Order: sequence, then structure tokens, then C-alpha cells
Amino acid sequence: MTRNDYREEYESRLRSIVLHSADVLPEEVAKYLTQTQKYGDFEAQQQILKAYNPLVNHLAKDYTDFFLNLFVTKVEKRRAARHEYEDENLDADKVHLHIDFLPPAPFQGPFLYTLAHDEDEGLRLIHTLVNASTRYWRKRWKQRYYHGSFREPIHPLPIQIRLPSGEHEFWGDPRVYMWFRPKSHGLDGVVSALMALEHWMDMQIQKGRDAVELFDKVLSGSDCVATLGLCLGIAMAYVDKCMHAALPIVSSPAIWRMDIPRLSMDSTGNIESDPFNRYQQIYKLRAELDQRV
Amino acid sequence: MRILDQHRHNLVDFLRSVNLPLGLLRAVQLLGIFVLESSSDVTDWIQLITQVELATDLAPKWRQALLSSPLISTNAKEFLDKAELFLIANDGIRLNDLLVALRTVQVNPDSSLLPLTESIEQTSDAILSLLLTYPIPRWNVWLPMMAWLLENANKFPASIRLEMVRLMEIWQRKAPNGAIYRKEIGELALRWLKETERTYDYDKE
Repeated sequence: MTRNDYREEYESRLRSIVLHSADVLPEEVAKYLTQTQKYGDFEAQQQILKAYNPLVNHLAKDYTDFFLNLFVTKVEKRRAARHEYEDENLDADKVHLHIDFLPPAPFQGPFLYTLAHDEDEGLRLIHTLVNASTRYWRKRWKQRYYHGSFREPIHPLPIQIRLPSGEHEFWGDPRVYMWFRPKSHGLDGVVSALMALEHWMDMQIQKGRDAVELFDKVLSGSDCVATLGLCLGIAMAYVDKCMHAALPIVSSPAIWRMDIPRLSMDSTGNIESDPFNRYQQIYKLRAELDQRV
Repeated sequence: MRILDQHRHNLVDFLRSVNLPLGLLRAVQLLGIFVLESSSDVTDWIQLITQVELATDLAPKWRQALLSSPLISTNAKEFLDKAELFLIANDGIRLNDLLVALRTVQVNPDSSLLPLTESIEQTSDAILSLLLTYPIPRWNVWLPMMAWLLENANKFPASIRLEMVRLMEIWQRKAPNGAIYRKEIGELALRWLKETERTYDYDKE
């Protein structure tokens, strides 16, 4: 074992012990997360992101803050400080470097586990990430310089949906609407987050949770039309249980227009690249989702 | 074991004369316990181990059997205290080997992972290897050892730290929430991590 290998293993195991000590040292571990998010090296941050099980069990809020501060706040600040026309994939690259979301699936990353363990923190995690991505989409349209050339800026308009908790605005176009599908052009992390949300809502409806309350809770925290799309997918899978909950969504003609390309994309089949059969379960699940109307 | 005890002073020769059958490993380990428990110090036990160490043609298993004999005694901590200087001599090489024996022998496979293996076409060796990725400690053996390790952690040479950390990680992953020594292990790991992480500035806030 080289000196470098020794050091890597030693540090990584020590860190693993610390992360698994959240039950007995919650304050110390929370402080370690904050410090590592600010000053830690890449390996330390990556290990914390992957060790979500013990952390979410005892420090769900601190883990969510760690994740969001690492990816959302930092990227936004950096973008504001630099060029307005920064490459749209910058944040995607950063997320990918830390966690492998390929191929996108509900159980990639911490989303589904966090939702199952702490609903509010799970929703905060997913909504903040997806809303940030939606804001970048809006910013991009407003940019005068785009993909190497100048153009007239475009100002997207929101879709207004009357939820039981009040009027709410959702942003996006038919491409954004499809972000909850792995074949869409969404960032892999965002797609996995939305797929996890869909999977979790599916389980909640199966358990008999009130669909109106569930849809309202999920939709009121989101600014992205893809959340409307996944709620509509759930409603169509459980028509009897979700008819009332889906009414605000299906009353909007803009949603009809965006759901047609989604249906068309779902019927085109999957392109699977899995020579070593590592992702059989993921592709099986994707095929099942595509079977929905 | 009584026959082995009769050949205690020329144990290696006796083992060679019977062609070193691996079936005697357990008996050799029991001889180690017997020697420890029947005298007031660990001198006889040390002599036994030294005999085996000098016989370079013997497989390491024989030394490991004797070295790990305090672990399976009900007075494990007392014997470890007495043998401390012997174990940490030569940069802790014997203690390191003892910790390796604890990590690799005194564990059970994690059978809770079995349902996961049902959907995978694997050989039984591969499945066992998977179940042993994060094995479950034999708690009765690990408890006194962990107590002794935590109590004396600062006295041990740095060369055994990695092996000790491997044990601590298994404990922290497998012991139930709030279980004994979890807090002490977490505190020790945090202290060592602070010492080693290069970019981690704990005093900035």
C-alpha cells in the first residue's frame, strides 16, 4: 500500500465513522457538515453526499442544507458574479462530479430516501434543486447571447394554476415539462429528483393518502411545470383516487398542449446502453413508467 | 489439549511431528487460554508465541491462533492489559495482527443482505464475499477488545491506527443506534480526522 493509498483509506474510514455517529454526536457531526461544505476538499464532500442514509436518519435538515448549499447557492452566486451567459451545463457538471446520477432513476441520489424518512426535508431538497434549474431556464431565455450568437431576448410567461392553497405560478415549456422523464433533456440530477418525487407520490397514493392534500403540498412548493406533469401522471394512474386533485391541472389548456409531446415521447421506447446488465432494475422500472398513459 | 500442554515447551516440534494438522488450531488456541488463566502473568503465553514466531516454516495461522487466544477468554481485558507491552513492541506488529484476526475471524456474515442476492446469479463464494463486505462482529469477543482499545488508544503506535480504524468503522456501522462505545468511537474518529484532514479549518467559525 502506497503512502497515498494509506492516507486515502485512513481519512475515508475516519469520515465514515464520523458520519455514522450522527445518532450519538448530532451537534458535532452537523458542524462537520457545515465546515466541510465550506472548506472541505472534493473527496470529503463527495463522501458526505453519498453517505446520506445515516445522516438523513438523524440530521435530515443538516444534510439537505449541505446538499443545497453545495450545488444551488454556490452556483447561483458564482453565476451572478461572472458572466450572465455562463454555460448552462456548469452546475450539471458540478453535480455529476460529486454524485453519479446516470442512468437517471428514482433511487439515484438521496432524494427518495430523504422523502421516505423526512417528507418536508425531502420536498425542500427536490423543490429547491428543481426550482433553481427552472430559474436558470428562465434566465437563459432572457439572455441576449445564446449558444454562440446574439438574439432578441425572450420573456417566458408562467402558467397559473388555482390550487386549494391559492393561485400558483409554474414556469417552463414542453421540454421542461418532460424533465420527470429520463429521456428528457433535463439535468440528470434534476430528472432523478423528479422521478423520486413521482415514485414517492405513487407510494403515498397506494397507502391511501388524500390526493387533494398531497397534490397541494407537492405543487405549492414547486415553480416548475414538470411537477405538474408528474402529478398528472399519478392522477392518470389512479384516476378514481386523484380525480378531484387533478382538476386544477387538467383545467389548464397549456398542460394539454405540453402533455401531448410527453405522451408521444413515452411511446418511442427506451435507448438502453447496459452491456454489463448493471442497470436491469432501472430499465425495467422505466419501461413500466412508459406504459402509463 | 492436555497432550499439547505436555509438549508446551517444545510445541513446534510436536506439531511438526504430527504433520501440522489444521484440526489442532482450536486446541492450540485453547492451550493459549489455559496458559494465560493458569498463571499470574503472561510470561508463559509470550514464550509459546515466541516459539511459534521463531519457526518460520509454520503457517501464520498457528501464531494467529495463539495470539488471539486472549480474545475468547472471559477475562480478555485483564489479559490484554498484562500483555500490552508485548503486543505493542516492534511498532505494534503483534497488536496489528491481533486486530486483523478480530476483523477477519471473529465476525459473522451479514445475512440481512441475503434477499438482495436472490435476484443475482452468483456463486456461493461470491455471495459469501458480499455478505462479508460489512460483517457483523461477534459482540462478546469484540466488546472487551473495543473497551481496551478505546482506553489505550493514545498509547498505541501510529502504525496500528489504520487497522484500528477499520474495526471502529465496522462497529459504528453495525452496532445499534445509541449502543455502548458508539459515542467514544465517534469522538475519537473526529479527533483523528481533525488531525489528518488538510483543508479542514475547524477554527474558522
